Amino acid sequence: MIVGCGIDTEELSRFDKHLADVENSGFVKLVFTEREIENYKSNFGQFIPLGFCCKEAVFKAVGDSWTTSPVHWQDIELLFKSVSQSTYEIKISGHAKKILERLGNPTIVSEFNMSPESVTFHVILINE
Amino acid sequence: MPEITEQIKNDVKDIVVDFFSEECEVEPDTITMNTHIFDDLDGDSLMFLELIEIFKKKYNLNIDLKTIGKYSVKHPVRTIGELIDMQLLIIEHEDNIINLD
Repeated sequence: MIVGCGIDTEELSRFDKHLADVENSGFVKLVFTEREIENYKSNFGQFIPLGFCCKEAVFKAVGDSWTTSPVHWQDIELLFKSVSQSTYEIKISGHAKKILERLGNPTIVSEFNMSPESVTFHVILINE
Repeated sequence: MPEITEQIKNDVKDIVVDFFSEECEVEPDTITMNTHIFDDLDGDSLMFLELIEIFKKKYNLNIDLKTIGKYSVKHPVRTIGELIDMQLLIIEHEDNIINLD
């Protein structure tokens, strides 16, 4: 049974101002964990928008956001296992984990599409 | 903890209006205190986060994003006026904003 669904799209150009000096960007430090920033080092230009888009999609899938509940941006981490983006995992912690527990610990099914202009992330929460 | 002067109030208002005017491509004089950030300007969380960072830098604020989130749960921000009011409280109280009613 599907218990949640979230989609988010972001224009890549909106992140340009944060990519000039990622490791000193206040915005990046607000949203991403140190583990994510380290993980994204090989390609900040793609991974930062993807990570942001993923977090937004998960917020929408669980039906809560950082301004409507104690869930935090850093409760949701998108970590790539390869530079090619072909494999990744979404790690959930903190209040987001509690929300998922309330939903019956659903499996997170996700995919993303990236064009030269934008990125779209789809997240579906499925209980077996 | 800075005292909120008329100068700071005006500066915060100007920064917020200029920011949304540029990001949302609307004329500044069309933005009022009652303008709805999401419905009228098509604003989003990325803009909200960027604005928080602008104020953190300008006023050297010590405030955690989680604190702003917790405050927003109790005091939802929908309009430009509500955003300016919240920002002034953050400048005045920083992380102690969460202890306000």
